[in-house]
Amino acid sequence: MTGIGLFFDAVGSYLTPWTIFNVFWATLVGIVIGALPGLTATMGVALLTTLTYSMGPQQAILILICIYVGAIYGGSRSAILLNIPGTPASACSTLDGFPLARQGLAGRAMGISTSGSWLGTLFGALCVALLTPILGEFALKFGSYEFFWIAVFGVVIAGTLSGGDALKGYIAGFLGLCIATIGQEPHHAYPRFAFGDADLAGGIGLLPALVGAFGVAEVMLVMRGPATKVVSSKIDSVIPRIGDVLKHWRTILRSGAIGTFIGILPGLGEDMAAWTSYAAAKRASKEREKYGKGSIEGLMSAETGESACVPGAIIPVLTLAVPGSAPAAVLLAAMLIHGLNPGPMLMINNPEYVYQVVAMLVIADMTKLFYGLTLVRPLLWILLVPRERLMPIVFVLCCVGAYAITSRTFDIYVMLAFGVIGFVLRLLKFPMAPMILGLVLGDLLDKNLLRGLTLSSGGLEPFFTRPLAGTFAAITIVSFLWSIPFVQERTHALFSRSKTA
Amino acid sequence: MSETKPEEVTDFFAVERPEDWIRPRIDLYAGTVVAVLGVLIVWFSFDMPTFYDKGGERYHAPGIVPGFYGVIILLLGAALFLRAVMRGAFRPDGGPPGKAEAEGTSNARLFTVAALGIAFVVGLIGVLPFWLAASIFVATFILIFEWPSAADRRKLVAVALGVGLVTGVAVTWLFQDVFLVRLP
Repeated sequence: MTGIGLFFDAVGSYLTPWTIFNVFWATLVGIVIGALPGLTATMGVALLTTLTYSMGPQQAILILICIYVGAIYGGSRSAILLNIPGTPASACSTLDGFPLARQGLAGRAMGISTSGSWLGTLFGALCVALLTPILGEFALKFGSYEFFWIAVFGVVIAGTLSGGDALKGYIAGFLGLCIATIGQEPHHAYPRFAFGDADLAGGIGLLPALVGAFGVAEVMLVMRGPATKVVSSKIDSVIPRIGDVLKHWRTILRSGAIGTFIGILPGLGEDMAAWTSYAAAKRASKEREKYGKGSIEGLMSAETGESACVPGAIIPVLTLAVPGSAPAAVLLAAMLIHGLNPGPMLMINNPEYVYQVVAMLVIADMTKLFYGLTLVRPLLWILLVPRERLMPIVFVLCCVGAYAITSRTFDIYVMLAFGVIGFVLRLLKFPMAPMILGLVLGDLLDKNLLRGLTLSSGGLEPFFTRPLAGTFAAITIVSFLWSIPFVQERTHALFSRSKTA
Repeated sequence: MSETKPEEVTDFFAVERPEDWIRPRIDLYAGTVVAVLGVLIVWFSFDMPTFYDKGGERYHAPGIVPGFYGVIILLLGAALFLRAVMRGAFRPDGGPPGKAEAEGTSNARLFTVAALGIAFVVGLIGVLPFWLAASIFVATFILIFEWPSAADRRKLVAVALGVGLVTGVAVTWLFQDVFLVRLP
């Protein structure tokens, strides 16, 4: 059967009352989670992984994808109405969304956000269908050496580009990798860093760590920070204007491509996609002066970019078992929990699954569009819920989420510890994405480094001399060097000198 | 959570600007902690058995990978330390202060949240049925934080108890009975 046939087959299989019910509530929960400042997409997907634990894999992943797609979109609501991004991904949307709301155009801004986000996810879903089989086939050529470099590249690129301080990004990434080594190692079952504790010997669960780092830390940050106020309560029509879409079709295509590409790169995520799309749109725009003051094109680019990143981030999950963003890392963990085995063998063993995921993305996207057009007033009321009433509920859900997978009280302590670690690291301006990526990629790196060393009898040459491994090594090393200010300055100076000459 | 300014866009790929730094003295402490952590990781990795005497593969020794990470963490910690020194960490004022925190930030609120969270996890979970533990936690949380500014305290008590009870019962019902998830 062709890809299109498999896609429609999957869509047809999801058109049951129970599945449609799940899609509607999950997308709604995602939008609400995204809209509420302090609740992130990663936290939402992590908490709902617990809820879907007893479900079949198809329903569970469908629900989580709906949460993911909904949450990234929902963040724009508070960005437009509060000037505070509901999720980090929506930070860019505040730049033009909030000025539009202040001009009395909150409804139009939400309409642009809805259309941009809808088209972005649709574009990304198309890329999943087209690129995943190609990348999957390519990934079959990877051996231990290539996987080692993929893991290192993920940590390095996340550290370099996750915003701000690359050095702190690397530290966070390698701390994540190191935490992943806690517990029994694969060859001798020796409990590393367990210090005689049976719970530590069992390892640090990814979900409790994620719930702590994104849930508990967020509760602490929100309660420590100042309270927020809704400033725009008058809303004009939220129906997207066809003119806005047609006028900015180039921006939509460009942002969709950039968002998807950023999504494919390990660990970067939606915020990076939004900022990059916005910067590219501004550079290409004829009305740059409007950016930051309520530019429709600017808002459209940010929304399209961040939403295209969601399917983009799922591509490496399916082909390499490497997440493209923090929520995708949880999605990967959920796929593993439910016995799906994403990675290079997916296209061999279960090729229809790729098209099932595409169908899930499209269904979530359509439901998001429905809510985008209808769910305006109720969301405004939800934004008015005081944090003093919301945050204890979030904390209770975090405890449930951390405990439920393995039923160990120890996991609640892990959640608390990661909450404190996440909070302190954020205060010290260490980015969290590399740390999470390190936690996820730790096992991949560990196994492939040792396997590679064993195959080469301890020789390091194959890590650099095999064509693919050498290419990944070169990209990783250049990415690392590029993040060093001295190297950047020298390179700029070199190029400007050669231009002058 | 902070408000975003338009100029941040152009600098997204660039090296941090001085106004985005945190005080270098704090980075100095952070670098020291990271470097010490790196040393400890290397130390414990060296201390792990190699299993060579039991016929184990040379490159399967448990300490190789964490030892590798430990060395890198040590180097990165040292780099953070040195950068902090170069940015003025040893100046009497600890270097440029960086961005001021948003108005309304409160460490008292933070410590209250931390204390309530620990009390819930250590003192209530596993001791009381989950629905009751969650209800008490949510109601207490709301009461403590809203009490000082409440105009009608009797109404606040009713709201806190109501929200607490609904949360406890709803979470327990939804997770335990509908989705068959075990609760602590």
